[in-house]
Amino acid sequence: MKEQEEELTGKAYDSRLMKRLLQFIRPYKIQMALALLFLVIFAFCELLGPYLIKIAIDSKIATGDMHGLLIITLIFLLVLIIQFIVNYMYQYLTQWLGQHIMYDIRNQIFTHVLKLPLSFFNKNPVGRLVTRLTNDVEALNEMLSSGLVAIFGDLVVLIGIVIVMLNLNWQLALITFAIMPFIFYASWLFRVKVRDSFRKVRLRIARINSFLQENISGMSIVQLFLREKKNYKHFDELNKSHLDAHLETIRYFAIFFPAIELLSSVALALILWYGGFRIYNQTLTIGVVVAFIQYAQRFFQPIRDLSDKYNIMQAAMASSERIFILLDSPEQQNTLKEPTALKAVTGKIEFKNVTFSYNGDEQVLKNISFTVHPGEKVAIVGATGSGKTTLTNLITRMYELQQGQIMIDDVDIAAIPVNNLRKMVGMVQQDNFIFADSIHDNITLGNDDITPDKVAAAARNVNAHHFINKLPDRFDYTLFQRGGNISVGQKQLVAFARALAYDPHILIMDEATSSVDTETELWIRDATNKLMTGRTAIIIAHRLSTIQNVDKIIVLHKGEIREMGAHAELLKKRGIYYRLYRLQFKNTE
Amino acid sequence: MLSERLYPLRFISKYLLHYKWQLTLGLVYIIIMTGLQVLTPWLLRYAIDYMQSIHQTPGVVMPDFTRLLIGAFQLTTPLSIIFSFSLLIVIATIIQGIFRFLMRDTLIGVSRKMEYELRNDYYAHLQTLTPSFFQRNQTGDLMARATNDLNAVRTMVGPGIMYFISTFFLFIIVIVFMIKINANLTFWALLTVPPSVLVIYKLVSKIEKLFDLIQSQFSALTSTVEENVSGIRVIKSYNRQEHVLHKFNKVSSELITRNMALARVQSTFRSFIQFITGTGTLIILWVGGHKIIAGTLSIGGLVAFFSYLIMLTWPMIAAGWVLNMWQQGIASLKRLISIMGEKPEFADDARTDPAITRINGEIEFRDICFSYHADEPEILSHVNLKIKAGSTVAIVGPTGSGKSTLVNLVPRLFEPHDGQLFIDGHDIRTIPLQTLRKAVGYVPQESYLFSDTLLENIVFGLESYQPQDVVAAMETSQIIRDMDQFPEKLETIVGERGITLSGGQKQRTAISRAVIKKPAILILDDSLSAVDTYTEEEILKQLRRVMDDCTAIIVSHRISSIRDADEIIVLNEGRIVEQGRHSALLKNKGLYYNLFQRQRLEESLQEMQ
Repeated sequence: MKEQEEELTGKAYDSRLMKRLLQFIRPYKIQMALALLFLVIFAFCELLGPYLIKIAIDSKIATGDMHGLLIITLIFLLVLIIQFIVNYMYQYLTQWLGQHIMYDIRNQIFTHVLKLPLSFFNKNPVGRLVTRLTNDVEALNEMLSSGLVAIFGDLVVLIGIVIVMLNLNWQLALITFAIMPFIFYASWLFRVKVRDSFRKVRLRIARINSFLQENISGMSIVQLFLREKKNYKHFDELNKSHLDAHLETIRYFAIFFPAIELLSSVALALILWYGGFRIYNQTLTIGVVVAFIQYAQRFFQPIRDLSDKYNIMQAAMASSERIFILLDSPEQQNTLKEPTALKAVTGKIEFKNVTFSYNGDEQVLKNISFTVHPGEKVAIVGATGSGKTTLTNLITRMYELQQGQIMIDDVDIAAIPVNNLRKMVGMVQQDNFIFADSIHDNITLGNDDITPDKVAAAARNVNAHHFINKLPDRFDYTLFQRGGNISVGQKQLVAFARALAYDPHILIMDEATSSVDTETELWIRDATNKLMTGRTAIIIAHRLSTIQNVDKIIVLHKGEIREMGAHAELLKKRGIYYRLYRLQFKNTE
Repeated sequence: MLSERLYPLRFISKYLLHYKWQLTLGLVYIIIMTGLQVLTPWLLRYAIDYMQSIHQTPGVVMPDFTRLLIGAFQLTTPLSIIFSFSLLIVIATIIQGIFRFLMRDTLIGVSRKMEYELRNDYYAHLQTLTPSFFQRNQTGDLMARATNDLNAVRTMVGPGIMYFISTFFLFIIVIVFMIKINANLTFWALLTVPPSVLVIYKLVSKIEKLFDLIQSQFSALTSTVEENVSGIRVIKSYNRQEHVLHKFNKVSSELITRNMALARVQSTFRSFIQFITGTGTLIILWVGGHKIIAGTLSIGGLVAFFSYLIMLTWPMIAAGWVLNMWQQGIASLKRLISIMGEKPEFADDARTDPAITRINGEIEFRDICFSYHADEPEILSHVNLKIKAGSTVAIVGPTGSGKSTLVNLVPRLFEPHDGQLFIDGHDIRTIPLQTLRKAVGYVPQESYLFSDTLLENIVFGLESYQPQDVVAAMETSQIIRDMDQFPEKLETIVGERGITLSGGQKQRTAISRAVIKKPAILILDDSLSAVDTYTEEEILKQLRRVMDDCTAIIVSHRISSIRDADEIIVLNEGRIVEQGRHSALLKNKGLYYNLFQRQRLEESLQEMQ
């Protein structure tokens, strides 16, 4: 579905894309200008060669002037040396430009990605984003470093050749140019064809990437369920369609190159034929014909290069289009009205008629209203899918509200800068994401304000030090990606230490104690109690034992608040909470 | 040493052999194309010399070829002679073009087909590798090998081979033609070749090392992006965007530093080539000029020499470029081979007994020891345990006590370092993996779903299925109660890793996925943690029916979910410390008793409130 959508996007607005790409070049105007200057000098030297040869043939060799030939040769040598230096500078500068622009683009994309709302990540596979930041940017770099500037260089050489040719003999020049319309038509046709097939290629490699990402990450599930054959078949299909797209592209290239070659040989034949005619009439020297032949060779080389660079350009255009689509996907709205930074937070949370839906269709939360007073602990209970996680995600603006308001300290959170808000509100999530980094870095997440002492203290508080102390390098022990070398419970302890180390004003725990054994749970509860003192806390748990200390319990059912009140109050009501409670009690009797 | 160096080539030639006919044809095309390519300057030479001779004294002897041409076509006027030269050039180009088309279409096509095969094999190979491999290797890095590295290999065998061979032939044929025009001038014209080859070779060997560094940094970049995008929720809730960006930029900036090192070498390379060919032209002009004045060379010959020199420039650049492609290709190929050469930690082998096709579900752990790495602490030590077919066994114990590891050994996700595991009395290493895994229904701790429909995720492990089986499996896990929440019902796409489902829904989908296999051994690795108590009770009630027909191993933290088990195993620090029925264990007054007491205490506390 999504892939089809992507396949349909965009037609041929090259100039619009190019305009946006040029913005990345703007900071490097000086370097760019220098590169172009070197290029023009280079092109000039390039044009001088055949002209010097013409002089040598017509006025030195023909007349047997050895001394004149020596002078011409020496001038030629000087031109070569200048060309060598200028060429190096130009090559180096364009590479430098390409690399720095690539860095800037990557920086901008990644900065943007980090600002995208969570709903974006739910819709876009990780592999696709990886492709944008790696392969697509690489394609852009090729265009910038060897495409764009080189095309400009080719143009300079072309114009120069046209001028020189017209000066040497305008009739012969015009006859040579006669084939130009054909070359442009062939190039245009080629461009149209190749553009489409390149789009296909890019799209299909992105699919391969997504597939690999998902299947490599979930390989043990693939193996346990004996899906190897089926998944291989699926992969083979993706891979095959990628191959087909390439074979199409290859054919276009294979036709195009010989076609251009043929046209240039027709030009050569025309020069010979008309030049021969003029020599026969004694209105032209042999040196001019020789120079024309040389210029014609240099004339078609850039045109052939131009089309060769279509390869690079098409890939870059397709890539840039996708990069811009990504850059244009709206960032999370930062502020509504007057941004109000929270300073001294007391921790009052208020939901006012909050209604929320992920897709605009089914409402996950319906008209939720409640108030949590500063320092209060609130537990949210409810069946799976009742909207508990969504509710807590709204507080930290992981998703933007559509209806109603959430206030912290009587300020609408939509007016609080997200950074400010999330600093105030700490969150322990359902999935405890572990980075391929040391335990220390997994707790601080790179925040240097959190000293090793604080890390150790946080770990001790959540009783994570028991297992950490047993590891070879203790806090410096490097975890595998996703924490593959520690148990789920241990991952959770690390996540707890992380939350504790960040010392938030408001704490939100989402089913955090769910997959730890009772003993660890006791440790964590002990830590949680410490963590909760002096803070407003909202805890999601499905085990009633973990919410015995809270001031208020909210029972959510199918997105609605069905019961709300203190433990004893709710028991008296004999409603859902009572039923849940009895169930838990009965089980362990 | 040498064979080690040659191994990558042997590896790739396996794939190339599949296309030996296309490659042979491609070779023929190249030779024909190259031969025709050299004709144009040759014809040009005669044409120019003829023009030169038009106004000279009639006594000038015409070359054999020109006389032949005039005779064959009965040409009378100078213009018709010039015209026929022009026509011949066009005809030669047309034929050459046809072969150029065939060459590209064949050879580059082969390289793409080989890329396709190689990618398929790479993926197929990954599927044979065990979880420990995937713990050691970052996903992003494995992905980069299947795309970037593979592409470098493809470039090496496609354009790389094509340009290498065409360059080689062109070089030889051009030199033959040059010598035919003037042997002495040929010597002078080729004077620049030895030094350029030396310089090119030196630069190229530098490029290889630099390219290696770039590729590995590129992999690092891929991994950084992959990990941080996957962990975006944590990054956002801890406001770590800036830090992550900083980390990313550091990796990205190092990539640029490495790329620039390569850029310096490449810039030198390119401008040097330009210089060396210019020098060639210069020498031809100087020496050739003298020869013309001395009467030993014609102007047409000089023009042909210029054309041939341009033709030779291309091979020289191409040689450098091809060498470059080869270096990059070899570096990438080595990276691919290092994965493709990775032996699965275990697989079906000589010990495997294909006669074992059914599994009843009796399991025995005999003195099992396990650790992920030799230098890391043992996760399981000397575990002895017998599970009767059809019984239900529960495993409890503190976090990190080895519960998950123990159950992971049963479907042979990992291999114990010491001790033996028997299923139905067979050493697990003799049971075909297919048979074993077909018999195991596994619900992992972290439910991993695929970005497909709900239905596809449930029937994930089945070849074919009946609709009523799906309904039954959904009833068992109670996921059926949530059906009205899925807009497209069973056809709802669950998103990457099931992201659009709640934690409980993911777990219940994973349970359905396992029970629909009607497994002989069902493993629940703390699979109900994200499910609320009420749903858990319901699921357990349903599961009991399933568990009657199979051996069940349940890892859990809640005593409530396991108290009815036939046997309860208490693990602590990788050892079995207690073992028995609920009531017996309570009498034991050990770890289990403590655990139970604690849970009871909590409940009493609640009751009092």
